[in-house]
Amino acid sequence: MARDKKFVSERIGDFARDLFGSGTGRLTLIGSFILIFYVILAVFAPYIAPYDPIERVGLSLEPPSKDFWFGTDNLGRDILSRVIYGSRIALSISFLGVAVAFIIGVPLGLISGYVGGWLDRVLTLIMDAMYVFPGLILAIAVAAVLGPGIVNISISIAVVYTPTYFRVIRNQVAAVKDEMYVEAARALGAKRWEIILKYIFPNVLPSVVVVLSMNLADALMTEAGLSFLGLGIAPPTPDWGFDLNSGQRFVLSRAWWGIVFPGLAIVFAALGFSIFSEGINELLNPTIRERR
Amino acid sequence: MAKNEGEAVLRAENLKIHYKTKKSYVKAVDGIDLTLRKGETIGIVGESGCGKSTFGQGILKLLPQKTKYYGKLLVRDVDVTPLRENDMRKVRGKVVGMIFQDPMTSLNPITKVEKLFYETLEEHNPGISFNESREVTAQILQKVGIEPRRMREYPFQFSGGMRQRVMIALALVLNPDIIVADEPTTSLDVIVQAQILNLLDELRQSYNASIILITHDLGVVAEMADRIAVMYAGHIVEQNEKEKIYYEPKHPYTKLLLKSIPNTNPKDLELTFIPGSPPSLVNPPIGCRFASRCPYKMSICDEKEPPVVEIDGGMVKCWLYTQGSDNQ
Repeated sequence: MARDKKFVSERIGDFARDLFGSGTGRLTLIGSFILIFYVILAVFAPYIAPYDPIERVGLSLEPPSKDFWFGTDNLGRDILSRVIYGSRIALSISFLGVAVAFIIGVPLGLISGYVGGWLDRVLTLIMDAMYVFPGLILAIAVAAVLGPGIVNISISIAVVYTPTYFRVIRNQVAAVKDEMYVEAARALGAKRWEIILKYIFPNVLPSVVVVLSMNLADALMTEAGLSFLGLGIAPPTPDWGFDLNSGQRFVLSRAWWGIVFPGLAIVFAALGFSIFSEGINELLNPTIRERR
Repeated sequence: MAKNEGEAVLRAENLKIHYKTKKSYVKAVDGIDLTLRKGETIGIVGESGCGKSTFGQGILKLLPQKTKYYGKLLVRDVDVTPLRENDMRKVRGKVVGMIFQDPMTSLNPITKVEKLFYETLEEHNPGISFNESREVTAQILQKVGIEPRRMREYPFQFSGGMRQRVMIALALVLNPDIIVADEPTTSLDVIVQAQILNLLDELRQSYNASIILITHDLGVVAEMADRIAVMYAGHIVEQNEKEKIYYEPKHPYTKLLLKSIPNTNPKDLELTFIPGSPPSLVNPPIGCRFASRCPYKMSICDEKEPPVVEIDGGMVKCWLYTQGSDNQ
């Protein structure tokens, strides 16, 4: 029995080898590096950013130079600093939005799938009705009603993704609840909520984790889209989507740096999330590979 | 095992279990009488779809919610047919344990064996500590022939036979009076089958439990059961001691069923079977349900349901044995 025990570091090492050992694992590694990079940017923005992102620090529309690596925008603000600070809004809204969608969608899916009957019908109908909307359009509609603000934007993103969780969970539960071990648990006298929490939920969780990481990339882009359209965070708070919008007006005056750098920030963040989720996906659920 | 002795731990009186489908009811179990005594093993045999598994799961009321139960099903003198889910839970595991057909899928794949036992024990003895539960688990695993230290493993790390042992241990850990074994050895190879059956029988003796053994395998019941009940289309058509059933079958269905056991004689290549198929259980025929396949069919068989005739220490539900009791 003593052989089973390992040092914590050793166990972490084993886990890391499982995670990153294969080809897809290396992708996961790259993705997680990008993710970690952005998280560090967001957390330590005040220490990393060279200037205050909302202060005028140079001339309007200065091209990239030694002082301003990414150039300045039309109000003379340092774009590098704005991109760094922008990761805060982008990450917090996409995490919050996905978290809210998860917290609402998963329990509803569990209950709907396990209980079935008319409750299932009604919930599925509502969720399907939400699901048929194109994501961004629905988010715009909700955001327009709720108004700007981190929480409101997160909610409008959550509205888009709740049905995804609901559907994935509900269908998985419907399959798992007929498994023999669920029946066996009932035969041994397990309570309903115990069956849902201890037997069904852990068995359907892996598929949700995959959706979760994929949604992060989508949510990030939805957020950028909303703020590009002016439905996001109120200026002057630095935000990639908003900067993209203000930069876009000066492309004709050859100020390409106004859209390239915020745009690249969005692209790399979305790419990081996607690569990461791809890796997690195949790691947790090899059967999904065939399905896609 | 002597008959008609010992207290009855389970008694079905005209028990009917009807499944609800979209428009109708499937009368999967349609009026059966059965008594299980302490320490006894009853084998329930019959072909697929005859209602034997429905009966087994019906004892624990594990069937879909809209299933209707009629008649009486006394488990230790308590009629369980009107009981609701909450009261039923006290019966499950504690009074009646169940062993399922497929050990490969009947254990939660993501839970360690020790935790499976802990959850079951805790359900019925709230407040039991994990260590206490592990002690109990170690003892019971030892009894079913699994090294106690393997309780720290996951179900998928066990072979099929081992898993069925775990399943048996899990069904026995609360020391139930009745064990319902629903095709416990169907998915195992013959060697492991024999081991599992011997194990079950030993445990039945040491725990003084009663077993309801549901199977389509007449070899399995021959090995284990004291009495055999033959089911056909929702009815018990014949019930008697094992030897009587094997050597002097009464009901035509039993006779044919015994003939269709495949053997290993290479010269006997012909597989015997009973032509035809069982009647629909949505609208079962008025008369004898076996009439359409029966070689001894008489005119009355199509008209009236045969009575239960007490004969030779057992019972048979067939017009052939009513001799002069002239019901016509």
